[in-house]
Amino acid sequence: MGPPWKEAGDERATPASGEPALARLGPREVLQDVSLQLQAGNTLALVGPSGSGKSTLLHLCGGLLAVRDGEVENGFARTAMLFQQPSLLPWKTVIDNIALGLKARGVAKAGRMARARSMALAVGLDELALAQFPSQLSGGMQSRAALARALVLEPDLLLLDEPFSALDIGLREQMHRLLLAEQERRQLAVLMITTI
Amino acid sequence: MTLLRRWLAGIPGYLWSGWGAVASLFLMVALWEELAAVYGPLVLPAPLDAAHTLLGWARRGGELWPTLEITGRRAFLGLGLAVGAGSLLGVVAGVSMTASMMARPWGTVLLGTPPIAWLVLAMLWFGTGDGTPVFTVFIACFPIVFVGGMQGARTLERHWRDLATVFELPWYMRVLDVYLPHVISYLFPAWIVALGSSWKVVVMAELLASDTGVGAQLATTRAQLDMAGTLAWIAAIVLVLLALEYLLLEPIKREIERWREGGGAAVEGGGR
Repeated sequence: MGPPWKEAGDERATPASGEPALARLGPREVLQDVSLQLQAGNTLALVGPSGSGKSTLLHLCGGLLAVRDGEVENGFARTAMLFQQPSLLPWKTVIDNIALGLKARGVAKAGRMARARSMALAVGLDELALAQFPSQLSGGMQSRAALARALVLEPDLLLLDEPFSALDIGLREQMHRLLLAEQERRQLAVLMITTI
Repeated sequence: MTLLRRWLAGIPGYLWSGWGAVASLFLMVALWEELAAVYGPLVLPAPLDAAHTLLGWARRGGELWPTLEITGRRAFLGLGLAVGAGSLLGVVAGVSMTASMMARPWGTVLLGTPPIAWLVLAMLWFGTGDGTPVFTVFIACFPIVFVGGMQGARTLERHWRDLATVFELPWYMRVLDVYLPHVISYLFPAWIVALGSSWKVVVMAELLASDTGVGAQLATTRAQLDMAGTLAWIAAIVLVLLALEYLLLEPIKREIERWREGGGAAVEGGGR
């Protein structure tokens, strides 16, 4: 995608903007006249009742759906996404799952394992959990692993498709704290979905 | 290397867990012994007689090993062709919605056609050589593997594809790390079922359409009313199948499906 550098009012902002004016899923029109911008380091929440197309919008931004009309400009260098389910590959150990994106980038094995390990420890997984398969972990641990898998790529845009909605309120708050800590550490824009 | 070591380290525990299965098999032999005592050796010879016959064949110069080799060659040739063609074509058919809709009835038709019907056709086409049993095994196993491969490819869930896209996996990682493990988890059980039926079908094909191999020997002992010999051949067939299943396939299955059971240790006893 081309370099966008949208007019943003804040000269240090490295921006991206999403302007999918219209998208269709099959014969049904899901989104119409949607326009939004997200500045680097900011958090933007999409709020709305279920079925209103939030997830579709997020999938458009993530490049998982083709835009029919209008455009999505993503000026962020690295985009990562968390799905509604943890979506960990069940046949890979947790550490291999976390290192998946690094492997795709061609990071050597020793390097990607070290980075995956330190990120996993940062989100509160322990050494024992790393060697296990996802099915052996609790839901909360799986969510942590999914978060680590996204954050280890050091994204500057994170798309959250209600990844923590299945967790109880305490765990969800922990996850949000982890995200806030990461945002404090470096510039990370978050586009997230919340249901009302 | 670690794979090999883990496999070797797992053998003693695995064998130990097999005691239950062995005990239940011996119970079956005891039942056989009891029935033999009731009905007499003309109807059902005792297990020991059958074992003596079998051991006699197994000695040097005996007919057991050459016969098993002939039968094994035919079964594995047919099975190999079926596994190769069935896996490939099944996965290809599963990738395309249209192809799988079209292929599904074919699979049902092939699965529903009894192997004996194919055997009749094969006898007319291939005569009494290796061709008939190999073809019959192939056609009996192919639809099993084909349907397994198709299921595997069809059930590749949307979110795995999304995951591969979001994490920008290169094509070889998509195949090796995501698609292949998923498809194998469907194909492998199909391969095991195909192996079992290949071994049964080959004996049937030989019995009716060949003058060599275990099936042909079974036909001979039957013609001579040699009950101990008949039971000895049956025992040989079953023992080979048991050995393949529990010494080769079961450990492999445990290894590649470790993630499903949720742990490396054997969860259940020897039997399935």
